Amino acid sequence: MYNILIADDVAMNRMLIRSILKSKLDNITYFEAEDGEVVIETVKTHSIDLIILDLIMPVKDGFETLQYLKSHSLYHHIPVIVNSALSEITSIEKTLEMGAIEYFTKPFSPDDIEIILPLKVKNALRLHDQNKEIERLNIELNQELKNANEFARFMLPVKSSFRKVDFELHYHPSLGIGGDFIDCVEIGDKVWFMVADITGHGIAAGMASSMIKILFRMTLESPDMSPSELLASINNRIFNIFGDNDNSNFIVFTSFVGCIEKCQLTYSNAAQPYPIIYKKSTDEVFAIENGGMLVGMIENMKYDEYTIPLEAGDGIFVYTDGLFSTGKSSDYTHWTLVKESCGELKSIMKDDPKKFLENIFWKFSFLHKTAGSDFTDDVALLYLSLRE
Amino acid sequence: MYNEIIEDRMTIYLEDDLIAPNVKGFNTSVSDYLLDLDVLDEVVLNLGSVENIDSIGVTFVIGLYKSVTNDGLGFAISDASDNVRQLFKLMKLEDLLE
Repeated sequence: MYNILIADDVAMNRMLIRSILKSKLDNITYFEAEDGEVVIETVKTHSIDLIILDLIMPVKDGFETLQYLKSHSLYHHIPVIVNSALSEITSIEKTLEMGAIEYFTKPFSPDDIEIILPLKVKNALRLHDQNKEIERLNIELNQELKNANEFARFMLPVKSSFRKVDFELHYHPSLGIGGDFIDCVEIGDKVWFMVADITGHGIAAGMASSMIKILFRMTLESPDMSPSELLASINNRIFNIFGDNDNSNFIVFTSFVGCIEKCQLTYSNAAQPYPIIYKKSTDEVFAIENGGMLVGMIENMKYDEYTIPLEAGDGIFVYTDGLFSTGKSSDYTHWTLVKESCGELKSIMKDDPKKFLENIFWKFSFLHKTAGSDFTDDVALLYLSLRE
Repeated sequence: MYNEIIEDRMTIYLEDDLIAPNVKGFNTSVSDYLLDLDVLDEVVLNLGSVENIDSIGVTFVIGLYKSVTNDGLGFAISDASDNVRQLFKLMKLEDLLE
């Protein structure tokens, strides 16, 4: 059942359109309006599926009415067919530009009456149905993404009672839910952290990131685990489930795993952009340029392991490539921009890590916008500093 | 994408960016190219025309590397730009670069 509103100040014209449509279309309820004000009152009180609108009407004319409808979020989706005595192209152009979908000039021709008007009304109603369905699905999808986003945020580490380090994080999923992953956990005298970036983004990557969190925590339960062993273990588990599938690797990710113990950082890097270290004693920043193979691609992969001595006040900044990536190959060297930015922001970095993460995020956001783009991938930033 | 066989070496030339929307097509073409490996000893992926590459593109290269080496053939990458070389260095795959 559809509701069609016929707006015309001449009762005879309203009756004519009604009788034309009645003879060709079923399941329609007709409403009538003699001016624009009545049109607006009617759409406020009834669910109207199509409006056939005259332009020259008293009180509020068709142009003003169309302007109101198309600028109002509740009514802009209602299709409007203009039916007017105005035959100049400027009127036709103006109303179509304003959002009307069709324009008929009065009087109707025999073809208009018999064929064209009923068919165009039918098509407009069908289009309206499809638009309503898309809108419904959009609302549903957005709600699902909102739920998933809450879940993803629930998975982020909570800054609670870490004894050895302070940490700050910034997480920006590009689609409400993302494939970037950050975790940080204190076990005995060790602080473990992991940043990972699952290939792709969106729902599938988000599902994978929740799986990786569980794997990370489970793997840490093994005694005497080292970062390289942890990466190798997760690599094999992922590969055994998803890896050996011809050309498709459903879960592949970059990852940086670090373990801080007794003022020493031990780490292993699986293709994550090089993290940045801040040394308080010399007030300098430098990148740790050691890489490794993506996780999940090759069975029995071995990862190299490195150590760096740290002192109280030193910091480690780990970030995913979404911060600087726009999809161009040149992006892969843009981690150098991150390093430069850390140099510029190092006083904020050491005094207020939370503000530092916000600053660097907005700096790259600005760079993206200046280049006419925006963050196209998820962004995860983690800054850890050793307590004084 | 096209290939060229000279003696026992097949060189695969990519003519589009190595990014997610193109990778499915690349995989299909490569599967066809590698149906008959008896005459080959080595496969070379020429990236001379690749300006852009994303993470899915990287998985394509590594997938091809795995597939080719599993069949006992040699694999190499040629004409990679400096930026792409940096990427392979990050993944410790410099050895594949010619």
